Amino acid sequence: MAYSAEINRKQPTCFLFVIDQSGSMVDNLADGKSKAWHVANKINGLLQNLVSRCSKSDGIRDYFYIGVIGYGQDSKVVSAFEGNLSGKELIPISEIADNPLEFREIEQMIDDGNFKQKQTSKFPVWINPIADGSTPMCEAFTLVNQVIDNWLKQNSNCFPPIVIHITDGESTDGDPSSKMAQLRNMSSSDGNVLLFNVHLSSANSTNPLFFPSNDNNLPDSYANLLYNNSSLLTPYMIETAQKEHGINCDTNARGFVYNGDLDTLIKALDIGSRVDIK
Amino acid sequence: MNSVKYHIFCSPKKGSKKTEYEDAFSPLYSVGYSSNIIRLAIADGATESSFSKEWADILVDHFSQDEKFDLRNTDYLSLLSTQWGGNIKNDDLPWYAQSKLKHGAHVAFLGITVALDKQKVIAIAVGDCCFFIIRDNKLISAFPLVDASQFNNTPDLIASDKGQNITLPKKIINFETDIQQGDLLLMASDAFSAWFLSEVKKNNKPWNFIKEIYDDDLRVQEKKRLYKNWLQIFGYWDKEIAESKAEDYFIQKVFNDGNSLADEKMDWLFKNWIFSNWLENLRNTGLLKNDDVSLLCFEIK
Repeated sequence: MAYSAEINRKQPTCFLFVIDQSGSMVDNLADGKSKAWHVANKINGLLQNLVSRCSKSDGIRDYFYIGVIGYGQDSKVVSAFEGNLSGKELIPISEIADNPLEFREIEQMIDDGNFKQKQTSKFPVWINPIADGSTPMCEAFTLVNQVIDNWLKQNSNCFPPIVIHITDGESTDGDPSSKMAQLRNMSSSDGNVLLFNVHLSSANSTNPLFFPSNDNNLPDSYANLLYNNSSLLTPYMIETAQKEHGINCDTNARGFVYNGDLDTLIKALDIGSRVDIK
Repeated sequence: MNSVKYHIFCSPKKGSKKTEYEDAFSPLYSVGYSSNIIRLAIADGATESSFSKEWADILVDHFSQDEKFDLRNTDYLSLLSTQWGGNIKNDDLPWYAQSKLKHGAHVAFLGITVALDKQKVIAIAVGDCCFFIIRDNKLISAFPLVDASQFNNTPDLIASDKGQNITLPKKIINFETDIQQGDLLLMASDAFSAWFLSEVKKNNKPWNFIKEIYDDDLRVQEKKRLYKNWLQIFGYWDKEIAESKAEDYFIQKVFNDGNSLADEKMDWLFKNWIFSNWLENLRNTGLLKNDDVSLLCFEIK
């Protein structure tokens, strides 16, 4: 059965986040904060969550290798990590745990049912929001394909890599379809690489398309492109969607979001990064 | 009163060290041969929790020693939770461990109370550690799960954080039944339990091989042959070497009283070695899910 390989320290899997850092990401979502800000914020939160999942009383277990590739600024495609991790494309989760860029204080309102109070918490940060430049999506996926190909050569029996691509617009360096198809055709002995595409809307868009099972309601050709290049969700992801988010997906559901808002971004990242490490 | 026999098998997940083993169980001295009431427990720490081994140990220790153990008593659980938190040096932990500590630990739990004079057993469970009774070479009881298809990745768990145990009372399952002389009672963590039930469904009797490993009366010649192999692999064991093996992680968990003889420990190590090799074959063939295994065998003679 595909997508059932055990994930452990000798046979880790990898997550590669590919984030659009082009100029249009400066546009705001409904809450007035930019798409770039939200993407960076949610990726940082997800990295913290992945570190936590691998944390045991005796240290970090390297179940995952992680990369965050940004494309846009200066029309370049680079690792979005900064500080000690600058320039690193795919690294073990322990290295991420040991090298946050900084810790930021965030004030939160905590409501324990009796009264509300403000609480300051510290959160680790690994990437900063960037919104500058064009959208070299083809070049981004050229790098992604190299990184994943190298990974698979050294980890041929792994749980297949998961690539989550977040963008808000169309490619400015050509049609990325062939690159995305090439990526999705790569495989380990446990199955094909999984590519999920999350498209974010501007503040005024409504009706996000979330994990569709067919192409009946796709609004335009760009949505078609991203849909056709999105992989099916795994059974574990479908189970997570139902149990933890109350979302019923059938077995044909694809890891694709179109005109997504903040809520759909959060859900897509959570569900798309769920693998069973028991 | 009947005489009883109690044996423990344990094996860490393949690829993990013994010190990373997250199951807990009542050690051998829990079975006092002059007592009519025997309390045994097994607990399985959740993989994605932190310090779940420590939480499993606390629950098992308290069940084994305290007849007032009560999972429905929130004050009692709070005391155990405070003990768990007190055992962890928070300030020495890196940021991610401190952050994860706030989510607490989670374990599946099974406890049985055997009343030999009344010939009864009472069991309490949360989650997927299982209890089996074998009588006249048949499986007559399985609790709380009865079929391998019932096991999944999200069993019910007992949390170390009070706020996460609000629905715990609904997750507690009780069971009571009669026992007889000759009965074999088994308690096992989930991976082994699922395999065990799938074997029974195929009309196999997996308990027979288990008994052959720990019972000194059975298949003596085969054991002698295996013992020769074991000596060749590990070298000749004299008392001094055996004493040094008291450092062994599992020896400390199984014996845990500092008084057991070196010969007893050697004997246990040998039997657990046979068991572990057999498990490895099951894991390699995919019949047994790769996870920590604990198996407690309690026989009423």
